[in-house]
Amino acid sequence: MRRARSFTRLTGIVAVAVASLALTACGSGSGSESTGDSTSSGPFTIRVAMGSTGETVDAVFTKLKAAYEAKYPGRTVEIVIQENDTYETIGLNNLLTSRNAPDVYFERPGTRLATKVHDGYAADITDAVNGPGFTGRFDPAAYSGMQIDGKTYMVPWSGDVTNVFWFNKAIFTANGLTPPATWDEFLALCGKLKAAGITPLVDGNKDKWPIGSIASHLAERSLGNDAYIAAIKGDQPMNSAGMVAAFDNLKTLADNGYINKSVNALPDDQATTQFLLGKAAMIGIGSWLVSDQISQAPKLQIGYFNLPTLPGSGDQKSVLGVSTGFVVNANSEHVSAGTDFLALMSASEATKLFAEAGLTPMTVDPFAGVTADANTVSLATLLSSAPTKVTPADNIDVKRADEFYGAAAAVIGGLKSPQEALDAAQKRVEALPKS
Amino acid sequence: MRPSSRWTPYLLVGPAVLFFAFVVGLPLVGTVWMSFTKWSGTNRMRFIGFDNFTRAFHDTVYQRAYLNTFIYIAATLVLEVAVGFALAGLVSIQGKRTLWYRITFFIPVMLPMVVIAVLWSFIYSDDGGLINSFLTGIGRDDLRRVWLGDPGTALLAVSVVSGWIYAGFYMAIFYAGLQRVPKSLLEAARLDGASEWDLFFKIKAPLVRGMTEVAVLLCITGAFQSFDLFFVMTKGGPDHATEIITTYLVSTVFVDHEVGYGAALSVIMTVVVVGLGLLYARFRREGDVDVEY
Amino acid sequence: MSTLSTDVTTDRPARVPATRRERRNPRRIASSVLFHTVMTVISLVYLVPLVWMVLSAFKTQGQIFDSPWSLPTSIDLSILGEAWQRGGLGTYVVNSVLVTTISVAGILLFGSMAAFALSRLKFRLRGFFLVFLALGLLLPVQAYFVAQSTLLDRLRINDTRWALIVPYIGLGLSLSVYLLKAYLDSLPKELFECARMDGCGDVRMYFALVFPLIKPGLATVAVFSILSAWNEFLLATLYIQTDDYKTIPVGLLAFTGKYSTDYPLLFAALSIITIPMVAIYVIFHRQVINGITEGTLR
Repeated sequence: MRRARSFTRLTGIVAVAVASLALTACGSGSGSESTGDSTSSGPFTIRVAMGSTGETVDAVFTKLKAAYEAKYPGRTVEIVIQENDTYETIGLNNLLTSRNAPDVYFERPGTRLATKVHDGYAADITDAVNGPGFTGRFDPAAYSGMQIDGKTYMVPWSGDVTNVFWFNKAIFTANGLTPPATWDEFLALCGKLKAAGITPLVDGNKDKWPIGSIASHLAERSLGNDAYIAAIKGDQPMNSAGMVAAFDNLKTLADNGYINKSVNALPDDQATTQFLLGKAAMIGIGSWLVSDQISQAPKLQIGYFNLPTLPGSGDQKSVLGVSTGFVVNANSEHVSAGTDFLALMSASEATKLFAEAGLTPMTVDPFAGVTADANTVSLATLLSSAPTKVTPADNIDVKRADEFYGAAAAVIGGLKSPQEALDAAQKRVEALPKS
Repeated sequence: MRPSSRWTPYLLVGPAVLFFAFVVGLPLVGTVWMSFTKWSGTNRMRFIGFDNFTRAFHDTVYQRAYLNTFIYIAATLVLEVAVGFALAGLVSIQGKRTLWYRITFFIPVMLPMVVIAVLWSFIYSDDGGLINSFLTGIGRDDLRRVWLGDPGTALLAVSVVSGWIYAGFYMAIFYAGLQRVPKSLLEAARLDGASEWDLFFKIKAPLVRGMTEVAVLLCITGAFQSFDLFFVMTKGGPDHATEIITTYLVSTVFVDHEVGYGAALSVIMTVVVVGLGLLYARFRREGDVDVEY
Repeated sequence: MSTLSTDVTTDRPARVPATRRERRNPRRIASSVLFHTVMTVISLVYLVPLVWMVLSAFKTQGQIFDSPWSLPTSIDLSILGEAWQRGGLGTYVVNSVLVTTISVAGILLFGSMAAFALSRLKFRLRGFFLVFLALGLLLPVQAYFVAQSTLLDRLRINDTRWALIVPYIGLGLSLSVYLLKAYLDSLPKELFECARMDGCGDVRMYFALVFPLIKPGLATVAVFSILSAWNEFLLATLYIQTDDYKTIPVGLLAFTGKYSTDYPLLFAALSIITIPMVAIYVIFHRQVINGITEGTLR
């Protein structure tokens, strides 16, 4: 602690010295950028980056790598797979600014893609996707959110229904229950289960998006899709009466003990495990539950139902879903090699592999020649035939969605009333700088 | 001593100073500079003056993070320093055959925090957690809690883990200090009929006062910098109940990609931590802070 | 903090020699029994979680959930191998060893060189360098990691092992210089002056005289630096995302993310990392405890 004595006196000198160091080092630091689209003919490597969607899907990419390298001698593919949550937060941004930046990377359409385009990390691949490699593989609608100002920046990959209620068929049968059509029926069903000593609903909301997704869906049902999007984008207040009404439904679940008490402490995959072990009758989560069920509890019989209808001005048959895709890095030296890889990924052989791995490919023939899981196929139909497709809030505006999801977590945890939670979120959102 | 040539001192100091300037000096200046900008890390940097600081002073979560940090400090002063002191006292009263106890209490200090955080997440878990099932086992189901999911208990639950880790560390420090107490003094007191309790409170404890102050300072500055436990166990949740300065800083910069704002938050934090250190130094102006241990 | 002779673990109890009479004293026996009972209970608070972690590796998913306090029905060591294999723990261990070794070597070498010059040689910028390096002891990492990560990006070494080695050396240097300088300061100056009279230059003096002399100080710095680098988490999690370069703490976290629903495998992985560390610690407990306490106290 002796050091503290002389500290103040010398801070000034230190600052000056550090500043001069900064000047010299800045000169040497910024000269190494090398960009440009050199069409090198020698052997080269393209890097493909994504977050992990499970070991079976990861394995498909190993197969695609082999197929690509066989088809294009002299080219090597390096698959970079990170833990999903890491990838979507720290990972991708770090990768893009790193020495070995990916040539092709996973991203979500909409605002996230728009940011990448704006920051100069997404190549315009309009010509390529209209070329021979992609002909007839996608419906034009599949490119929704992937085109900006008439230019295409993304190739669709897989679609997911983000929120349905999965149920354990054995538990439902034993209690004489059938999937509910309305929210009131749903609550009544939860009550029966609870009375029978069974946890009606389990969810793992540690990362806030599982309940956040349900809240997004409820908000659309209550407000209508446009008003919901406006509220998330900050064009409308988040604490409107309609939003409070939507959140009241979460409060009902919390107040009646219809959802596990540990909801905010449990990671989502542990909630999945509890559901698959039969510790709860239902779980509110997306279509990817199927691949977990196949690997963890292949014999378990499960079914699903969409969010039941509620009173409200939204579309009561709406489906909450997301699409995903891959982008070619605008800074890549091998843009066309990148689109070649995406073409291979979109071919019918790859579609088959992805479908077998439990995904729902966005190609025109997602399940051709595959004995896909019945639930997966039916969910794909649910999504493609949805009269209104709702996007979870975090795909609309990350920062505002964070507050929205926080409010949902506070309500489902029984910490705040819907009004309090949404007022607090609105206050936080207002403090954000205009984007 | 005069150097053997003009440049040898610089040759010897050079690598250390250059490394340090590069790793700490430059980034420090860079952070201050960035704190006046709006930048996502990938887009074009924009100079916005003091806007980030104004925003920080109105940021309720950031304020909450400070409040939580102070609560955490208060909790760990008890759970780490006071418990560590008590353990050291216990051990020093007996003196004999305590080596294995001391080794045991120190184990968590040298383990990766991630291991401990993951392990304790399970201990606290609602289903199959050691604590809740223990409570059921002794027939006290009413005491079961979702320890990390309940804002009323989450911060305390993390603090307890922190105490579990560091009490052994403070014990080691205090124990070393207590061992330095002159034996002649203790023997003389014993001959006068003083009990072990008297020895501890009247002779030993006052002699390690300086060390206590060091421990308190360490505990406070350490708390400002903690991250691992919170990041792994709660990620700041539920509802920011365990949001501390560092977790908020990291999520601002690396999750929300608000690098400029994050830099401002980090500058504020630095001022607070360094300020506390200097305040402490001034407060201790004349006292001898150097502890012979 | 000029003395470096912390000796926290040797049994050197402050006590009067126990006489036969005292030992037979029933009150003393009772208090001794009470003491050891209390200490054993406290020890259990430390040991039970660790033992539970190891035992859980050998239980089934259902057993962990339904009867957390039960013992495993059988011990099948192959789960450890499976965790090692599937989790790719080998990569993490190799990375941790590489990163730690290189960082600590750099900290010791550069730190001792600078400590020698700052302690024994007179030159113009000495005072300035001393304060500049002391800055590292005062500032939290959080004060500069935001720009540090940008700097590493610019150098294109982010997401490589160097992204950890370079900062670890820089961060470790302050403490190393400070401790070693204090150590050198405590040596008699005649040692160095005699060597100088014999015509020994600075560089030769460093290698021939200083380096061997400060070995005990180096040992303390080494222990502290090794454990700091080995367990470092904040920078490692922010700077490294590719599995191939992850160190143990971040690798384990990735493992828990990936297999968070396979509890036995998870506990097996935690055990594999923990057991050898505890074993090494118990063997070198004195050095470890001294190293950590001195390093933290500065």
